[in-house]
Amino acid sequence: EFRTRLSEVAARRRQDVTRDPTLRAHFHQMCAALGVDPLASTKGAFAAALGLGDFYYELGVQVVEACMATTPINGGVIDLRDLLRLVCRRRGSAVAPVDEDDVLRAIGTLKALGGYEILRPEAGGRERGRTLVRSVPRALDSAVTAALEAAAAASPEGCISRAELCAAKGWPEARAAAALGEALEQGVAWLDAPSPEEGLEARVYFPCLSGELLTG
Amino acid sequence: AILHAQPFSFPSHFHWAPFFTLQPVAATRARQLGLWCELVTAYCAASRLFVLDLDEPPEALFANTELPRRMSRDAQEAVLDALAGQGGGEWLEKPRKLLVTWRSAEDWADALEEVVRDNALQGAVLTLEELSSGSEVAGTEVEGLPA
Repeated sequence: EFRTRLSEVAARRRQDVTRDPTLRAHFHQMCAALGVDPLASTKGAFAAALGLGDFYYELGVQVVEACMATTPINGGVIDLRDLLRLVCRRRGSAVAPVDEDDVLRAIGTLKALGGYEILRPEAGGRERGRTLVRSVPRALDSAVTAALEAAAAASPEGCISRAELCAAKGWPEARAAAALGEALEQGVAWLDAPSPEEGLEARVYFPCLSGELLTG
Repeated sequence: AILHAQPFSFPSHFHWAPFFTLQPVAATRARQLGLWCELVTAYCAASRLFVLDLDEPPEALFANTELPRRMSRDAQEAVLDALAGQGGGEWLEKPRKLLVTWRSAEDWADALEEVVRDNALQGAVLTLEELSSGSEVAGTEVEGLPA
């Protein structure tokens, strides 16, 4: 019964759902409550009625493009907020707006590509929890994730020195060095090593933590 | 065509400290040098700079005083080497002096031809100096073109 009603509603409100993120979220909540996945098949009744299949397919393509464009610098890890901003820029202002939930749903359909995992590193202290999207197949190991969390808490630029990492995690130097080295090796971090004359400590920067600076 | 040096807009990574450290990890370094090559080529095109001499590099290119960070001499040489390697320049004196090809030789030939036509110079014999800095070429694209 509910399913029939839902597909009737879907057919009537097609334009509204593709235009309005709040309505879309509400629709997805109803489907979830019914144990229905409207994105399970692009040929499914709901997807067809609402044009959601096309909507999320197009959004998925835009997500992939944005991730590929930024991977050379961030190694395939990007903050969801930055990804949303880049996707919206690609979409332009004439089309239906999308929000973070839409991007997450589109990402859900990209699993077949490999990668496209959602990461939620632990927030420390006053730092708010953030959501990262890993678009490359290789997972971040736990040491790199820990270093990333510490860097996020340590500075707004998303950088940390070996000494700061030791202090933040209570690690011996060798462990901190290994974690930072691994982050560099995986391409998700870059080294900042100003010249000895400048007397500054070397730091490791995580591009996914740099926010608008790198993504604009 | 008449062209003047354009004001230059640096890419966002120019304001990011690690961009100025030659990256130790090979894959990341390759991407970094790729970005530097793009930046150098675009900067030289906008500034109409034909030769990069690391003994007298342009102040604004290899350093960002706001950060502050600067590319080490080794890092600058790596950039020039990468640029030469991908055909974006020709060595005048390896490893410190590079002729940056921000425009193809064919395009320059076309530009020269246009100046010759505009000034009805066909058939005249011109010295290289007249071609690059004579009164006919002032304000045109070919002004300042090295031999």
